[in-house]
Amino acid sequence: MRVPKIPAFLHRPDLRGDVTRVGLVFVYETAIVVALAVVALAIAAIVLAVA
Amino acid sequence: MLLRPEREDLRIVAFALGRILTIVAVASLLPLAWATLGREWHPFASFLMMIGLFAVLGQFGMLFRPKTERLDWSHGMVVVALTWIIVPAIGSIPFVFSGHYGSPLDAMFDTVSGLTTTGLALVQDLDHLAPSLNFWRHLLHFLGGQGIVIAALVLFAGGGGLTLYYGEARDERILPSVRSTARFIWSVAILHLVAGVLVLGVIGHQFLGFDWKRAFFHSLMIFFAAFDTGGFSPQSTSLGYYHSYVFEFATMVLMVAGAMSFGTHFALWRGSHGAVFKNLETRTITTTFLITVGLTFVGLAVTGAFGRIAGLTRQGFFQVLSAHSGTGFSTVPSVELASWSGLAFGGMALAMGLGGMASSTAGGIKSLRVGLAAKAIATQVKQLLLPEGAVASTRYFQFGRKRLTPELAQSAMTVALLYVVLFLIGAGVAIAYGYGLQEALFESISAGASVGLSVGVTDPTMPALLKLTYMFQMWVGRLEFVAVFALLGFAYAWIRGK
Amino acid sequence: MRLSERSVIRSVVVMVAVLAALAVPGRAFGADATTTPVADLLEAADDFDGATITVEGELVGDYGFRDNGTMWTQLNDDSYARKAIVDGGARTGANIGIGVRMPAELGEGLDPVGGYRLEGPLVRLTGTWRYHDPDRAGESYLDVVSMVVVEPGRRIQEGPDWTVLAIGALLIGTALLMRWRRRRSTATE
Repeated sequence: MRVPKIPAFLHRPDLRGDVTRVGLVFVYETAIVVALAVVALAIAAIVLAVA
Repeated sequence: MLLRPEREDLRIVAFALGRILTIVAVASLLPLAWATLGREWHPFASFLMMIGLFAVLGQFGMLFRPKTERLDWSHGMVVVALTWIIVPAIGSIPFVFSGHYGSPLDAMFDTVSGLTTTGLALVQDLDHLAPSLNFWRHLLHFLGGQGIVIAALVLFAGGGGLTLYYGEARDERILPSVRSTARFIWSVAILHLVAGVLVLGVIGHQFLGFDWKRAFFHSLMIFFAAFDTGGFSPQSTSLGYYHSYVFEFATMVLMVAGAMSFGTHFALWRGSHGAVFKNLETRTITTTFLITVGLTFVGLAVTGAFGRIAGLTRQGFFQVLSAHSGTGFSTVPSVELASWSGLAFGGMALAMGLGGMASSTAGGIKSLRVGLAAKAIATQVKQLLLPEGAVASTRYFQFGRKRLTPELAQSAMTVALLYVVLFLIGAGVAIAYGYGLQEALFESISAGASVGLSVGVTDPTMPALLKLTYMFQMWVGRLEFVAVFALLGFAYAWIRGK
Repeated sequence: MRLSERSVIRSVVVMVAVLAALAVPGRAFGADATTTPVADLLEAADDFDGATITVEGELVGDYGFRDNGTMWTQLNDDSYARKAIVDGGARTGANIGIGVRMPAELGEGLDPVGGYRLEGPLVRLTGTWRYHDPDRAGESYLDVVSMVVVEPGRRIQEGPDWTVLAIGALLIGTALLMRWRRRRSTATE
């Protein structure tokens, strides 16, 4: 098992595309948490109204 | 007839272990450097000793030159199982010498907990612990977390339909080779590290008023624990220390990233977002998450623990996410978590037990198995309801249309059952020592599913056998039984084979 | 109604004494207040909700001065508050602490907060215990009103363990030697 080299990774032909893609990944991860939180908020509202 | 492993098999295993221990020795230079920069000479000495031991054993292992370096599946499994014993044993040396542990067993407990990304802790006086030692605790999460993902992808059949029958699901690889797979995992980790540490660091400084040095210390530690769904924290009050929903939110994004499978990361990276949401695994975990949130919220509302919507949502959502992702951060103290009874306990226990996605650093039964098992049961029921001659569909979608074969269904359900048995064994041992049913079950699931939430059972005064039990559960749970069986089989064949 | 001279003098003496007490900072002056052990507080956190309590312990972690004029930190009420393990203190289990919030002015000029090789200031805090505070979305913490420094913070020394260092150096030397020899034997093949 060899430890992968970092420098090779940085020499990317389409850096701009990569940066956009990476940015989108973070946007997606954040969006997932927001979406789940919103649903949780709704569940909390229902639970407190009924309980 | 059982074939005895040959000398060559031993050489292959020893050599691979030697390589791994050498890598760990090199990685251990990081806490050594930290201790040097911080002039923490006491930890420095113990890190030096640990590195020395890793290095010597590594070189020793590499003395066994096998004819071929290629590991086959069973060798790989044995190597993984042994790695998760040897590394914690030696890796606990700095903790033993720190004085913060009641015994070498306690020190090894925390090291196993770190490497298996569990997060249960027996450390004493954490708030006065040397930063380099704190860093080592959290680095163990990173090494163990990234390590298990690589091992899972290389050995556990790519994480797609983890089966006990290796050949079964080894149909396609996501990336063409082991090297590119490892490189991709490394890239994902580094990118998240840079972004995560930056964001948490800025939040720490701007919102929490920490000075830059401390802000980034906290952010780095929390990153390792969140992204690798470990759960150690630099201070004794876990995430509750920060008293900030902004900080908690950023941490949750990292926890979600950590509980996402490698395949999901790859799909998002490549832009095929649609596939992600069609996947059986994504749908399963979303469903179970919302169900456990519901259960927990009802439980908390009924006991009156949280009576207002903001508090219930913020605290409840965080705890369930922490449990389901297998992280184990807590915003409430253990004694309070212990009072979460009834449905709240049910929701949390279920969330912990079900776990995160396969091929991630999360533990538990894993959502892919849960989904497959559920689908298998649903298919059986449908089959019974359909008219004679009709056949129920056995298709599912997981990065492509797949067939739910009987073998796949059987293995998913078997492993799920094995986890339940593991949880029950751990609970049984605690109950035998006089702990209550709820706390015994909670702590056992937490250990077996690599979560790390505690209701107070995990304590330096805990009986030694219980400590050993949890350590065993953490080890077996992390390795998803397969590697443990491979090791036992190897040992058995060695003794009894011809 | 004429107040007797004696009662007036008595009142003035009392007032002066009170002012003197307030004017002398950092002294445990006449502090006979019953302190609540944090462990007890955590055991019955909801029972103490809204109560004015006094806790005593060491400030650890960080002093987080936030934009809204408050400072957040953690108070630990365990044996390590007086003698940390690094200082030769006994091992008595995990830390026992709560989050505390105080007005920024109160938190200014404190000794360095407790951490590695640092015993933080030992303080007595009085304030309202907030359990699952709805204004802070369910957080539990002590809303501090007044603070008295019981003991200043101090630095702790911790030297290296020379035996361990020597063993470590020896092991690394051995490993390097083994590596060199192994490389040599593969090279000559």
